[in-house]
Amino acid sequence: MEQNFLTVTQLNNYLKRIIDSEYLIKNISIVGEVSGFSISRNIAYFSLKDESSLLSVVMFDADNKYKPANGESIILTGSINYYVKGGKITFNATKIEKYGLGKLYEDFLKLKEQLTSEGLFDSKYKKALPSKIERVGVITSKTGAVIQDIKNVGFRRNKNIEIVLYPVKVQGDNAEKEIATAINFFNNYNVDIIIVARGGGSAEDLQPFNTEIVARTVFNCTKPVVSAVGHETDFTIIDFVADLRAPTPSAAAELVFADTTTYLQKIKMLNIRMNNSIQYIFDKFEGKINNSLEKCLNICESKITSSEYFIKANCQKMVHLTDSQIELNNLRFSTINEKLNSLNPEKIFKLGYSVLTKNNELIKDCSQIHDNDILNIRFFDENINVKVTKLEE
Amino acid sequence: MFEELIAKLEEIVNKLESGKTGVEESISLFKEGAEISKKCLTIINSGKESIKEIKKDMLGEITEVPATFD
Repeated sequence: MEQNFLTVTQLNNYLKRIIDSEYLIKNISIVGEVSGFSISRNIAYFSLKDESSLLSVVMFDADNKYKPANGESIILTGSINYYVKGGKITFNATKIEKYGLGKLYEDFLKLKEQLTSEGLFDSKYKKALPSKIERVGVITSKTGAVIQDIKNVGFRRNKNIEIVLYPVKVQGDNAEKEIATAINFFNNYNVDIIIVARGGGSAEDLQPFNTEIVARTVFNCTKPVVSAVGHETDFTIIDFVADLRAPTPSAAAELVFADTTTYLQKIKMLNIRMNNSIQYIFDKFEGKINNSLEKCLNICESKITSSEYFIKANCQKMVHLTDSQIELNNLRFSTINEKLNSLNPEKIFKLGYSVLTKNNELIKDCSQIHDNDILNIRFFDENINVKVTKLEE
Repeated sequence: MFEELIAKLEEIVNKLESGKTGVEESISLFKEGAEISKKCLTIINSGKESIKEIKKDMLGEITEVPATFD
């Protein structure tokens, strides 16, 4: 009879698959007491236990992590792993923290209390942001998103500000000294304001910003300092001592870089209003001019009309007067003419009268005439000479 | 100062809108306002937009150079 069986490896691989597919035991945090802690080649081996149970733990990169004492309560974060070769379940810890208040946190609280009592956080020492900001000193890492965020947000708001970056280590050994040096440098340098910034990180990563040296340097700095360390929920000592705390580096850029785009809108609006009001004033003025012109025209027109009327009337009068004068003159002329006509000697000749002359002398009575005189008789149409033959008595 | 210029421009516009200014005064106010507005726009758009970096040389001498990012 054939028997069905599995090899140990097959079973262990199967178990590993089951455990790896179980997400409820991946990336979890567990609390317990440390037992049998040892480090070999940068790997820590120990057990985590409570009153009734025990779990094997492996922790890589142990030299750079917190080293607990046996019996100490800790919180481990990591995942359950099935070790096929040894057929053992272990907890692969990626993070180790003290249970309760960690040492870092205790140090933080102690320093905070001390500096508070010294008055370093007093609002009376907070400097206002300058109204004129042209050069901003930024203290942060040259690599990473922080300086890019500040640059992007800042220049989007205002293209007129210069950023001066003082690159520093923002975590690890001596980072706090570099940061303090940078703050002191900018305090005596041509910048109007200082931003000390760092992206999010663990409590250990943010540690340089929780140091006394950084806190005191910020306090002694005569230029306004804006802190922008970690995420919005992270509070570090520098946040309390800084003149202004920005929740994030981008927010710091927003606080420091005056937004000229709103000014642009404002200037556009002011220009529109200015144009409208000058147009209105011109229209009003034009209206006044038009009114005055109209008035002038009306007055001129009426004057012209009345003058025209006057001239017409006078002309008529003149014509009238002239006509009557002519008539009168005509009348006088015809009377005179008539008179003249009646006096015309030719008219008398025509009646049959004639003129008698002797030697061109008019004969008015007979005593002027003698016998044999040659007399001239002038008739209507011609003259004749006659000889007196005999005078009769 | 930029903010002062904006405030001055605002004051000029308010004055013009009040209707209390004569034609000649209005024209000179308008001229002044137009100049200020031009100045403001020049300031906004001049765009220095520079980022510099403090560099220490081997002797500890500090200089300011244009920042370069990889």
